[in-house]
Amino acid sequence: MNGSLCAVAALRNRAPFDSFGPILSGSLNGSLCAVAALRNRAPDRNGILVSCGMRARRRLGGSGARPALYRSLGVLALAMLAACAPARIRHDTLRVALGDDPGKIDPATGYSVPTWSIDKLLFDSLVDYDDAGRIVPDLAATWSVEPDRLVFHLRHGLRFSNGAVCRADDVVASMDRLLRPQTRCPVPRFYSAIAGADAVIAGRSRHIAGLTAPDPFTVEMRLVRPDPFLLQVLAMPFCAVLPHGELDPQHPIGTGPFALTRWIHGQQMIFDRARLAPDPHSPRRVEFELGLSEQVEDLKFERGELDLLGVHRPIDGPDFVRLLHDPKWKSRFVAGPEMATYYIGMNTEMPPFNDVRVRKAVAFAVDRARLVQLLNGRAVIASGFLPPGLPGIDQSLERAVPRPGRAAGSLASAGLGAPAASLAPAGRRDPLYDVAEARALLAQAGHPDGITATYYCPNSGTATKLAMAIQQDLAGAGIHLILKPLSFPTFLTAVGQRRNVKIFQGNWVADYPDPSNFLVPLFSSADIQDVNSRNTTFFHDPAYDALLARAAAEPSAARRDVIYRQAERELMAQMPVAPLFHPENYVLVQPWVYGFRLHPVWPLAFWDICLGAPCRPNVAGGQR
Amino acid sequence: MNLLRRVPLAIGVWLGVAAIVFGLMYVVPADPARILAGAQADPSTVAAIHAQLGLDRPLIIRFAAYLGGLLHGDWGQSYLTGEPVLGTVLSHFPATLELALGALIVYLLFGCGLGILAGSRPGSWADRLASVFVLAGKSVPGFWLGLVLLFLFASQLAIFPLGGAGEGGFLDTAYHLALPALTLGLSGAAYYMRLLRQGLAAELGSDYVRTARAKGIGEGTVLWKHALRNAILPVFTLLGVDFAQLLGGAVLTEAVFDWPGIGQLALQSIATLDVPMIMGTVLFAATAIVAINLAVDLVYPLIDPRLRDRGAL
Repeated sequence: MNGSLCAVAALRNRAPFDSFGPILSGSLNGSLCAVAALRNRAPDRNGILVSCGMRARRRLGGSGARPALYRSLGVLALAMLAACAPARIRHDTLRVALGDDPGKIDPATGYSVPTWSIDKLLFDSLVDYDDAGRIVPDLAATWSVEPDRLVFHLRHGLRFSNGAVCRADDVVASMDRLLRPQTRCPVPRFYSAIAGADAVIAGRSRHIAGLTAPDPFTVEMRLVRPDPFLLQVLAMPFCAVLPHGELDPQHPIGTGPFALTRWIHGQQMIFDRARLAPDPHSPRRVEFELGLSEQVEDLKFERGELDLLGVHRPIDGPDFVRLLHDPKWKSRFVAGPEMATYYIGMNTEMPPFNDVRVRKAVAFAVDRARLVQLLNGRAVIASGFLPPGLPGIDQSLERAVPRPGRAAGSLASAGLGAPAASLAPAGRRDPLYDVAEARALLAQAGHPDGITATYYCPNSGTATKLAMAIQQDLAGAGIHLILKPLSFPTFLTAVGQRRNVKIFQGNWVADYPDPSNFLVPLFSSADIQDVNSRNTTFFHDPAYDALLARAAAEPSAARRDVIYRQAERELMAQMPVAPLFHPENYVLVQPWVYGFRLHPVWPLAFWDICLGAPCRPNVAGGQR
Repeated sequence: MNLLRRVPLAIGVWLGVAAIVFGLMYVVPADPARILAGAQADPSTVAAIHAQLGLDRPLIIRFAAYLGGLLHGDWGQSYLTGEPVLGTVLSHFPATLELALGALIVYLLFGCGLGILAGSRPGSWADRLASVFVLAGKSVPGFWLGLVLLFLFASQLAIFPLGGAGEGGFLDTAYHLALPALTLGLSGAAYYMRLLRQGLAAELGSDYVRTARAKGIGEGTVLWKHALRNAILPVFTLLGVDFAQLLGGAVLTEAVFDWPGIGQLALQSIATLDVPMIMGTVLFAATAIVAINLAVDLVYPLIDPRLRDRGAL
């Protein structure tokens, strides 16, 4: 096929232009003929350059040369010839956009959605989360839990991607590395229940005294106190097992199902199977495209160059709406809840928000249904602080703000189980939205003429859009906000500083699927600091702290959840935060992708995916 | 003499830029350790990282250490990756250089080509068409033009790739470079067109050109050998300045087309408050501007004998 025909064929194969095919081929006729002529005359780039020079001489100097159009057509010809290669759909490769180039791979420090996707491909921990967020075996085949110790028995035959056998010593060395200050793990205190962990965290020791390997397949952890969350945090990617606890961040080695085979910085990461695929149609290769802008990511997906869209960041709003109403794509969405809560935080130490009536007025003045609408329906109205998708949460229980004369918490199920086919947010109402009550509360608190405050928020597009909507809502109740959008680093530093920010827009994404991860770090008195405080509302309530302490000491998960629900009710009665909504993930899946699911923890649950042949249906989050 | 005067001046400018950027980075009310640790990290970890990075030392001590490092070729290490800053910036440089050269080609092809065409025939239809091009080129924002080109030629017509820099090799790079270079080049080309058009029109109306014509010299020789040679001097100056700026990274174009150059690196570093890397990208841009301006100053007399005669070197 010559260049012109090939280019026409390529153009005509594009679905959106089918009807314009004749027009296009007509308008491009001259160009394409010239392309063909050019190919016959001078197939190499040198010929094109020569003709350009001659053309210039003829037009301006009076000497004879080639037709004037050739120079620009030469460039076009090269591009069209290159476009002749049809877009390949390789049914052995899963192609996904990752976001920015992470620069290095270190599971001990990676603390973002993209880095967790990489970690899950390359590494394993002792235990893992299943589709419901429960702890299941990973490198450890079995384990026993005693009040003062945990004992893990490793699976036999485990190997790293470099062929070395994985032994208990590697687990111990990896944990030692994790907690050393030089490693810069963001959450070393998660593991401080292990005897000797604090000494390593403080830099006083290089080895965790309470962590030993009695034999090559047994790991023993002695505990300084019972910790019901230790298994949860051991399943996090921070605890990935490395050979001898050593890592080359550019060429990482792990026991995961894939190995990094190529990394073109800023462009692409390629992972190939390190061991046998579970299914003949499972991807043998995973390609992460790096640095794609939102627009390019969308366009690449629609052109079939990506298999999934919206895995590592939400689909751009206008594109989401367009795709949702496109018959080609609307049935290809997979939706599920994200374990996250967006809220308005209020500094309980600073007036006027040190008055619970003012805080409640803020909560009642926000029209959450409108915020969900602004997000194109990709969220569930928050009726409490804990997200509805959290494992262990009884969805039938009322969790909303206690209010006189009004049934609370009726929305807990409003956004649940939304399959891809019923995405419309219609019918969702905000049970808290009551401007009259907000005004009454403000008046009771001694502010009949309203209040004015500076509202801090990150300066991203979505955050600012939400802030503007909130500003309008609150103005209706007499709460006048002056918006202060800041870059994310500046925002974080500002809200973490004591007596600095009165009211702000915040969000919390679960580290691990447990209520404690929401209720402890953000609201316990122990997490109040003068700078870089995690408790950014500086909420201090002895009764609430006592409930957290009771839950932490409770070995029964069911009884613990009951205590946490009680703590949440206490929290909502004091209302240091006005919960807004819980976001939902929407991932668009190509027709040749099967078995994709949204996992409560892992951004890319690749292990059940099949390409090119149906193995399992695409489903929403497993915990639903 | 000029050379002896300009080199220390260039070094002074470079050090001034380093001082200003360093100061600005550290007066930003944000803690890099907070970003490095993660939004949900515990405070003790943030404090430990803060100390590890040396952020608890006085600003002047940190700046002195930074300058000392610069003098030894050590531009510091990235907070985010731990990799040497200079090495990382240099690894992104080839992509930026390709984009800069591509844009320069577009400047010359479109800007100078149309400038010569319009300047040699003032008031003609070509001149009027070129004026429309200038207006459009100066009015249309580069990022918008990039998105439109991307949508039209990459997504709908599928002639060009959807971003990225390709696998390497001349043809593949040219294929991937076409749209970003056009985007970057077209808006800049408008300035070149206007500059050359005005210069050329002025030269063609001057006495020496009239004399040359009266002596029977052909129009082509008058244009190419006499008028253009004088009219193109400001273009060379502008080309040098623009090239230097392009080497610093075309942030928006690189972002739209996912071009893995220094602009993308700068953007990512700013988002993560990776101060040493931000410093590195800014200093690299400053170095490029200072060095190329110096080079242009030195080359200028070679193009214009009048300057040579005045002892510009």
